[in-house]
Amino acid sequence: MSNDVSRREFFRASALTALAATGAVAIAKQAEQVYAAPPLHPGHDLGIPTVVGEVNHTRNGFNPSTMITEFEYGETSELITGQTLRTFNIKAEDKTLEIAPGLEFPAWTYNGRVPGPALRCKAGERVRVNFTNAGTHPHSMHFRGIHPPEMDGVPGSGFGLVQPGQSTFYEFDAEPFGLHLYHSHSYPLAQNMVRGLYGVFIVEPEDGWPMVDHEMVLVLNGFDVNFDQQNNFYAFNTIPFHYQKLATKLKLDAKNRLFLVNMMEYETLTSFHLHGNFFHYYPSGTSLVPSEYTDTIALMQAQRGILEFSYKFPGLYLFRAQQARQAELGAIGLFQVDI
Amino acid sequence: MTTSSPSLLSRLVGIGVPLIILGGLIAWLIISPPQLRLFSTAATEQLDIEQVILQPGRFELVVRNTGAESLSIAQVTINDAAWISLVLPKTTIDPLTRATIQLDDYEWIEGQTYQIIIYTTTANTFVVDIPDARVTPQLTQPNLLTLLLSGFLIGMLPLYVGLSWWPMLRQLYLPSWLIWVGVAIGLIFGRGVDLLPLVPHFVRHIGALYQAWGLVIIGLVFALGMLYRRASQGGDDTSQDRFLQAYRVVIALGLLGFGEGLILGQVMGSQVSAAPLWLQSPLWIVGLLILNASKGLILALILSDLRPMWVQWILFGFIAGFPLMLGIVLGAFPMAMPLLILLTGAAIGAFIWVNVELLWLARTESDNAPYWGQIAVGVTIGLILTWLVNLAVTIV
Repeated sequence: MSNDVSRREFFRASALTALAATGAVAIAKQAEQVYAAPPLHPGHDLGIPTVVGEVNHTRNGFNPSTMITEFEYGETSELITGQTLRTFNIKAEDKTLEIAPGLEFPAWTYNGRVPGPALRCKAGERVRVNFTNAGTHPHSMHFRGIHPPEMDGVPGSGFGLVQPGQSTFYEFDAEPFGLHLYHSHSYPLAQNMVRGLYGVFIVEPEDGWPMVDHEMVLVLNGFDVNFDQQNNFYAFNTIPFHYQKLATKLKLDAKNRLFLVNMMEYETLTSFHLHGNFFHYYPSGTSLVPSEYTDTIALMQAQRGILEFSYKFPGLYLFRAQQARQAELGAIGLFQVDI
Repeated sequence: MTTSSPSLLSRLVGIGVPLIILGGLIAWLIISPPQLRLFSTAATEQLDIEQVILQPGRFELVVRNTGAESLSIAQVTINDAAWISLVLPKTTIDPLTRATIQLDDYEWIEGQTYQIIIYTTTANTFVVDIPDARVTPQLTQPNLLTLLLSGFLIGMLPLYVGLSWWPMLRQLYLPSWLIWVGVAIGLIFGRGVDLLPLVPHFVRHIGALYQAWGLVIIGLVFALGMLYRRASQGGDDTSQDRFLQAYRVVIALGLLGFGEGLILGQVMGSQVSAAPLWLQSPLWIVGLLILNASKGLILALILSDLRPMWVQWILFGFIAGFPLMLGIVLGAFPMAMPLLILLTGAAIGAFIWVNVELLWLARTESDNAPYWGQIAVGVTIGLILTWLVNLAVTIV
């Protein structure tokens, strides 16, 4: 076998080598670009507050990952006056929930979930809520909004408290448009909030809100698991750190609308802070004009508002209660913005 | 009671029949329907925190289930932040068994206060307070040496320092000698005042399961009984009796030192307890070196009429001083807490005994008519000295 190499073969080999080297450098640079940023593992970084393990959402009967975009529209029919009647069926029941991995909590629920279903209707519609108390304590449904006193769901007015095994209904015209809420008004009041008897009540304007690409609902709640009148864990939609472990996906430049309600008991104040972004804020959602353009808002008990925002850059963005204690005990999450 | 001797059979029957009846009653109660268990209550979860170990970036809790049922650890928070925990060997802890809860990657800051809350699956909470976060000494070779050195400095050395007053004490007249007896009582009483308040803390620490106060009392009564038995063997009149008395005091001082060492070792090795101020001072060893010289002084007082051989000097110092070294080392381990509590009880008994023995000595030396005024002056001086040393150590 000859070891001689012709000039042509030499140049061919050199050219191939140069090509291969250029390709390798290009691939390496590409790789450098891809991995220039540190890999992101939401909820799995070392040295950050979180809980151990996973909650069994199937056993709980609800999953915050789907709950965030779930709205209950009820059934519609038309009254003889031509007004739309929207009917919801709600059942209060006792239920043991796994509110943090391995941690069982004797909750009171509307329709087996905490928060209760996000009821949604339009301003001017007649709303009827058929309510059954399948729990072991007296309960009611007290709606925020404008309605006759007998429909207020408080003791001493209308049907008052609904005893275990009893049923009633609440009927009123939905007004004003905005983001409202409902909760049980039995006594002691705090137990209703602590154990989970509350939910979101959304009344759209007659002509609807301007179209957006993505609507979400988040309820800030706290859990006093040992009933010492202090919250031990906090969450968006009940499960602490859920949205930190499983980021909610959004699209780049898409318009997002977030219905945000504070239902914490034992805390005089909470707040919401969006990282890396600003939002238009509509307090109680009762105006079509935002009150401010900001990245942080304060919320007293039962205070709520609508946030509208879109993301300019892809990546992971935190959202959380600004109070460190609440965030580090679960009121924290991530938006994953994709192209 | 009778003076006639019963037969073996009647003795056995006399002992056995009540035992058989008792056994039958117990068996009936165990197999009886639940309605008959009138006094049973719902079992509550109990978790004792036996030790808290702090290392850079890590908390480690040694816990023991002291309840009647198994319990499972669900979550742990540190200063109002949920934190990843690793429970070894498993999250479910059976009754009377231990587990270790590891909390990693938490950058705690020295000197700050931390509160760790352990949540069980049934939402019971167990709180661990760490008042002053510091790296926990690990019982590796150098640290074991540190513990032994500490024990030597505050246990053995002061003994011999105190004994060096012996030549001076021999030359004193009775009234002056009694003042020194009083000083010794005051000093030893001051040591007790410093350490006794820590005992209830440790008693709470080991939980109700071990009936810790019962253990303390058993230890105390045992020590007093043992020392009394030894005391009753001699009349304290002759030189030999005086030596016997010296040995009793030496043993009592050793027991006292052992209990003292256990408590100090617990405080040094564990972050659970709130260390007293004087022990938080970097000069606490200096303070104890000074105050524990009182034990040597007590020995010197007992021996002031005697001429011990040099072997006896060494032996006295060793028996009275070494247990403190041993106690410090043992106390720093999360081991056999019931035994430690039992020995602490014995130390309390020894503490009482030493004081009684000193007063007895003063009485016999004074022909049963001691100068109580001199003794009172001495006790006051001893207490003031203790107070001043603790104050100086704390301030510095």
